[in-house]
Amino acid sequence: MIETLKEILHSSKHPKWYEPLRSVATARFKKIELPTKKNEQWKYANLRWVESHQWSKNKKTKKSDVEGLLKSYQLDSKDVDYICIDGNFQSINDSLDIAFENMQNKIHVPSHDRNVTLFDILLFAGLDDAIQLNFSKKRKLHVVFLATTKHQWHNIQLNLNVLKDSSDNQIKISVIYPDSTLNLSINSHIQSKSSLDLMTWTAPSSKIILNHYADAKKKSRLNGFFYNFESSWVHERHNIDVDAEADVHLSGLLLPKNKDFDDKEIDIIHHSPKGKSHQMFYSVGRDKGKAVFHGRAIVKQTAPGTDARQLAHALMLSEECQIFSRPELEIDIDDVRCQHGSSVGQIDEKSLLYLRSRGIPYELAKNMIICGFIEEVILLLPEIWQDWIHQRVKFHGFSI
Amino acid sequence: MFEIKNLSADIDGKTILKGIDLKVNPGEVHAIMGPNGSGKSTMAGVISGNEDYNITAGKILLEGSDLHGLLPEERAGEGVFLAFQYPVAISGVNNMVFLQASLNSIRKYKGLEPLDAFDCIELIKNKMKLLHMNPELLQRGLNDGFSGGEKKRNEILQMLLLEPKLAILDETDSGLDIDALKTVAEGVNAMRDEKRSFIVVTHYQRLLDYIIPDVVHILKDGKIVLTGDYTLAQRLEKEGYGWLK
Repeated sequence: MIETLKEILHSSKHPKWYEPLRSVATARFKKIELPTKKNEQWKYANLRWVESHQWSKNKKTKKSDVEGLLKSYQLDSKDVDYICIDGNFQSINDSLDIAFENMQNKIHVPSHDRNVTLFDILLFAGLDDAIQLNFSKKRKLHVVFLATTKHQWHNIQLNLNVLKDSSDNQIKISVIYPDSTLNLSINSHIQSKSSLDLMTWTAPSSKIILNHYADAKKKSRLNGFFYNFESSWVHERHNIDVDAEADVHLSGLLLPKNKDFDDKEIDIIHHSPKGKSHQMFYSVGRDKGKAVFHGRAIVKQTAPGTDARQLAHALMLSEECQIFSRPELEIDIDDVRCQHGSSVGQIDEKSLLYLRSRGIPYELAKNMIICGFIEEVILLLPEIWQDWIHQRVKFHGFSI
Repeated sequence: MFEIKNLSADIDGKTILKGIDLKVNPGEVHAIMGPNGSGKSTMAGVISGNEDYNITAGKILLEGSDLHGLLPEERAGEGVFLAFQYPVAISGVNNMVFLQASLNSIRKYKGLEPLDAFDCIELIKNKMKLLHMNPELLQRGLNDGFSGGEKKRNEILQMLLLEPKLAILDETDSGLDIDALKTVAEGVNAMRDEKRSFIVVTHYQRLLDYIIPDVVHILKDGKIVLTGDYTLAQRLEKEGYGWLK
């Protein structure tokens, strides 16, 4: 399988300064093994598809291909600010802040003490492109990752730097990787007294490995929405550091159907006093879909007055779908407010009867209940994104 | 006309209804009273098509057609409406969307064109005025965070919108203060006409002070044991059920 992955280490254009880092990562890549089901975070993941894929090299992309592909996903290039086509970033409606060439000292190969996997190292050994976006007040961006042909694998790093005292910043990330794979690392640095809304959405039959590291500084706010519910295979890891009085809300929907796999693993670490973190993830399992939520809130001794909450609810709509839900709290100090809850169940028969007794046919009533369940999470989104997500949910087969 | 003939029903093998006969003419209001566990709510559930109950004998006829075998939504389409004792709350389902879906589902069943959103809103808001309901409740989740009174008013609102041939009110008075009770009764009375029938299930006479019944039945141990007029309800209020054999 590793031999298959070596094909991905194709020679992209790298800045000279990156060569030593790439060599270090490539050497480490050759030593490290694929994650196995003995690793907790990969316990439910099936990686056999990695071997069965034939990876194709990057190719030259025609502009017409891009426009057509965007349109087929109801996206308009006018509403896109940056696009990463077949592993290369381009700016459309905005100027590129910091391109790969100028990111010296902003990219670091993970050290051994982190819980790194082969895919983390692969990202740096085979890095296709990287950019840094700086956010000052009220900057709103839409970034699209697009693979124009099947069987591609790209390793991309995206740094989001939200400058001090800058509020109302938003970034929407769309991933269109039909039958291809995106290995994406997002580093969000939310400096003090600033805010960022971050949403990811992934198109059907895409595969994504997402490593999201965020650093929420004093009195900052991060709202993260992870709605890549149309992908065929997702493995997300979020590692969030929360500073004093910072406010972090993470939410998302997991809607696996067919044989989709969606795994969200979240570590939120409170280091300083009076930080807030809320995790709210809802899953709806259909067919043989598998959803995994493993959320942890870790409150260090140095973080009195922390408010940490986790909520995971799941609906199972078939006998063969699987839902794994594990909200965890690890608290090293008394003076905190922490809650966690989880529920897994089927559609409530009383609710169904109620709607049907009002003349609403069975299938519509069932759909209304599912949409109602999903709506609880969608309502957490900024209004500007709610309609957009409603369209995606409809695309996924749920609509009233 | 609504008629029940020798109706028996069980749940999980336990017999609840043991041969009920009831005839409600168009325009009549019948009150069903009885002690706890006598089968009042079961009867309401069986009529409206709750599939938890198993009908073991008898017929349920609405205008001569047997409702047995019809799905709950089909019974609603035929004109049966049950105001629930405990209306469910579904937080993510917008109340307005629900009312519109319900109204248009019934219209579709009857072969009528659906109402568009503007006509729906106008119709719903007009009915809400009758019940002194706050229009903001339309923007909330269905019964989500509603007070007891708001939930019951929302039930009556649905009844006003769907205009059923037979409306069953299952302990609609429970949890209502006197003002809310009067408002709910006004809503029901506004619908009384020579075409529509009502079955009012209640424990107390106070609701019947505002919705005067034509006939009062006492249900005990799954059977109607006594039928009379309004004075029967007054006697129950004074003496309870102890005197019934």
